[in-house]
Amino acid sequence: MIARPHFFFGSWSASERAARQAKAGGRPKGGSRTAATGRAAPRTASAQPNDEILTWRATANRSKWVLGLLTAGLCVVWVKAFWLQHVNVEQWQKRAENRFERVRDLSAARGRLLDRNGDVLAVSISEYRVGLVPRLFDVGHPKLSELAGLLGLSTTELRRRVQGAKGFFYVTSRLDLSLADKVRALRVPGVELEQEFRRYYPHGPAFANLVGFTDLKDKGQEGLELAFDTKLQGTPGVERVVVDRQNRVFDKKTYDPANPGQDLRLSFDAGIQAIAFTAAQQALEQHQAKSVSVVVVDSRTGEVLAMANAPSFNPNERTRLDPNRVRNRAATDTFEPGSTLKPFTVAAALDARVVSPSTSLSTEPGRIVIDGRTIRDTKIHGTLTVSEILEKSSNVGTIRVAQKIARDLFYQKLRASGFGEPTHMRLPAEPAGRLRPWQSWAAVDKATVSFGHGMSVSLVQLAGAYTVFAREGDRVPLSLYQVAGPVVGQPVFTPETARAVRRMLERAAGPEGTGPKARIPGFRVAGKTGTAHKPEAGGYAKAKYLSSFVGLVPVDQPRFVIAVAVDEPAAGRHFGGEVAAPVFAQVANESLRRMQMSPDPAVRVVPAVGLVEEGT
Amino acid sequence: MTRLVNWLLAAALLVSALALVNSRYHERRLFALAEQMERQIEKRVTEIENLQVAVTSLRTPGRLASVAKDTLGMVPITHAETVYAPKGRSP
Repeated sequence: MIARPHFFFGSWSASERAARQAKAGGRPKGGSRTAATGRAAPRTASAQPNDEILTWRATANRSKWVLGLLTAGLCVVWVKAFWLQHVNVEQWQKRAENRFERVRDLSAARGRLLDRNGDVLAVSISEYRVGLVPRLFDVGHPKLSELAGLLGLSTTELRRRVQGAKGFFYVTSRLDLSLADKVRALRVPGVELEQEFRRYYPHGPAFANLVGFTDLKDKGQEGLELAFDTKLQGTPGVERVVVDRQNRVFDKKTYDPANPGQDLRLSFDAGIQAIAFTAAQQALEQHQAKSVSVVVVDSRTGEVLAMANAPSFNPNERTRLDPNRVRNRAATDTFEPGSTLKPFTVAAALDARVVSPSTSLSTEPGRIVIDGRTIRDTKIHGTLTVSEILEKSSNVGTIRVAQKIARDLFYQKLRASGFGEPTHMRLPAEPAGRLRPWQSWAAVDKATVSFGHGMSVSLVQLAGAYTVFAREGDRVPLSLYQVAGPVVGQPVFTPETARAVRRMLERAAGPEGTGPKARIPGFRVAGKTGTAHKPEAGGYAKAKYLSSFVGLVPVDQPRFVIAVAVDEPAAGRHFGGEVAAPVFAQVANESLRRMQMSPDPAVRVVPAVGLVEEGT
Repeated sequence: MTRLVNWLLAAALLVSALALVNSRYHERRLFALAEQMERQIEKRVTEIENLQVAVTSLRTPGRLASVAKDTLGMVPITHAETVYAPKGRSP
């Protein structure tokens, strides 16, 4: 075998060593077999190839082992690579994703509630909630006092709460944007910020029981918030992002955007609502009443412009909620309408052509007995025309008119006016009111219903029904949304009847009528007072009244129907003409001024300062 | 000739690989920048909304009425202060 350079170190080192020993002739260290043959080398030159073969054999064996090991290592790497790439791929992919992907929830804001002019009635404000992870939080952090100051806590309080906590806890909420930024800038470990939405009601108590409120989970609980909950609620989105080792986002994988809730533009006018609410509150105090409700309806379209109740509550500070203040009484509470129903009795009779406005009827002797029950007038009026019956609000006269109409026709006209069924405005807990079918009426029932007893209505229903007289005898459905243009309603009475009743109602609100205090300077008003004893178990309460007034202005071109109900006035006076009519006048006067409406053509009003837009 | 082409292709491969690395780097950098901008937009939008709400609550009719009456000493127009003019003629 010829000595030649090998790639394996064993042979290189052996021949090198042999050459070195040949030069030096010295005795090498160690006592291996190779060394022994090396020593013999200078003596016999023929022994050298034999030695090399021996060396080669010895190292060749070892290098085979090394080669095998390396190959095996490479194979292991290959198998592992194959394993990772082709077997259990999903599991490994998932693990990688878990490490570098983050799922971020995108919160969706609840829609806003707006009035007809775009004024905000309810809005969700973005705020932050601060949570602490005690495990990561160091109470000795140099910025602790600064953090406590931003969170509105003392340092000792913050420290105490962290040390007392077992796990993650929210330390404070309702932190606004700039404060949240400052907290974030401190970069204290263990402090986490979460976005949250808080519902805010800029108009406070004026709209409180109408708009309602939401719970902590942003779901509607009362009022319009509950009625339109599905529309207002948004759908939260989600996105998957890829982060680097410092948790910085560098790529977006999927993106499902959050859909904020719809904004709702309603029929209400914040200005008129404020006017109605102020008037209701003043009346509440003045008459020491249990509650006062006011409803304003645009009779041309059926839009509800205002629905105010006193007492109310502050929707932005709801620590203790009194259910009596939360309820939207104008829509949820029913009462016996009393004399405010009389125009419908008269209209039904006029429509059936059984009487005319000038038909004379005797109300002597100021009382009437039906089925053994006596019904009285407040004073003896003598003989009255149909028009005067409404003007003086005679119970006996109204019963005499009702006696001329068939039961079924009377009932049908009342139903057509909207009594005995909900208004379909989708307000929560809206009652139908009580109106028994005519088949179950005894003679006395028709008589009591004719002057508004033995039945019940809500104030909203009553206001809606009066649009019949404000219009040409047709009824438009009430709406919480804006309605465009003039609306054609369902005919209830003939236009002639509606006009005749309107004239009578104007006289009822005139100097000789029951409601002269409803008059306002510059405009002609029409309306009817109502004073009803409140029903109690087994009869009627003696000294508990519900005073009401429903009217329309201006008479020439009716625009507003305003209904007022004062529950249990306790300051001495209780007649509708004295308690509710002034509230009507106040609301009508200020609403007309707010709308800058031109008065009736006979007396055009122009303010001494400033110009009024015409035709509004 | 083939050799030259091979060299050129190898060089082009190297250049494009480097360009790819570079563009990936810029992609990430720009993405981070865009994210930051988006967050700022969100923040400003929220700020605008909050300010709008503040304005709304400052101009509620109830508050304006009390400011007009108490601070500015204004009074509502009464009927007596109103000038009547026949139709078609200015006052």
